Amino acid sequence: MSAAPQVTLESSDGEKFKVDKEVAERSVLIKNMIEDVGESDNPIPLPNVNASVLKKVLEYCEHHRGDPLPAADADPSNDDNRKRATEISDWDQKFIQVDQEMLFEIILAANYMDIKPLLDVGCKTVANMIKGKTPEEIRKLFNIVNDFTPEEEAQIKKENEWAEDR
Amino acid sequence: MQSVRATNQNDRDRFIQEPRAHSPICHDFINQLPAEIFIAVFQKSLDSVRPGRDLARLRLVCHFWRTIVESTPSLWAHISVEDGIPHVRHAVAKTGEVPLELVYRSNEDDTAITVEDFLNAVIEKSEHWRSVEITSLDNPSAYPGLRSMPCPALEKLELWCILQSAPFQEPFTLFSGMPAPSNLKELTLCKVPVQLESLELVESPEF
Repeated sequence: MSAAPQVTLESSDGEKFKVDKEVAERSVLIKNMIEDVGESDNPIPLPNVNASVLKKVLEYCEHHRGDPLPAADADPSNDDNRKRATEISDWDQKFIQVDQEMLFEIILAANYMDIKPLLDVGCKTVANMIKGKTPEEIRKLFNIVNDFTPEEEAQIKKENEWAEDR
Repeated sequence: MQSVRATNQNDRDRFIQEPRAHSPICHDFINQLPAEIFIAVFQKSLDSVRPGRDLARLRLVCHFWRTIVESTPSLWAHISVEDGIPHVRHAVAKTGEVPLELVYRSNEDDTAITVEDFLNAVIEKSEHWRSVEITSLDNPSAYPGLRSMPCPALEKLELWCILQSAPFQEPFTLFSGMPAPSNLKELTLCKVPVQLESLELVESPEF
């Protein structure tokens, strides 16, 4: 039995990762690069992803290597998709339990590498963190500076009266 | 999308220029995300019953978030009566050309807004209605827009009357008596006397 074909990926900080082609091709970016360039021993450079993030992304791709690929045109505003909006599988939930810096790095890497299911898990995780929180709680959670002047804040609150009063 | 990015960049530039009041080790990593990812996150964070309340909270976080919320029509596209008529009107004005999902669910505690009030508030966008779900205690008769307009983008229509014993009513036509919209994939009618012949349905509806 012949070994599965492998490819080498190179992170922004120069670390090389040898992985099964099937795992690497969970990334549409890498899949397209392999198709464009053909089989090669040269490492595939990923200048926007550092080693610690790439390691984490590859852990996700390895776990989901056999999953069916997502539909390209899944509409997030569609009713059924909305109902599934914040469901995350147990394994994915444990996988994404990381600090905020790593969480947002994973989201950016998934976006860059075009791994839609991972991007979706990241977005759902952030959405679940936001749900039900007040603006002040959200600012505190994400270290966001309140850059409204008191007058602006009062104006927006006035505009929002209909929303909170019901 | 371009205008969102441009404004976001201005907001970000301002963040960089202004010294942070917080400790230098604090970072708002979230505000480094591209606008399209923000939109996906916001979309997933919205409650389906009261999306307007959630949008109101998001726009109070900071200028950057407010800009994204205010300039993204798709965030306003799920319109629920639970948010009240002022929000419904505000949302309609924000949605531009995006397909709309309308939800009206009356219950015994909330009789202030009728189906007629709700549909009249969104009727100007009837050509963009993609989904309409109405569960009403009212005697089913007045469905502004649904009865008088062709609603060409409609894919899903659910009309439920939950009166214990709805009084007899003559069947009425939808869509000005025209055939059902060609995009209509899902039709559910419960105790609502719609005249079916004029809809020219290929399959029988779900009763």
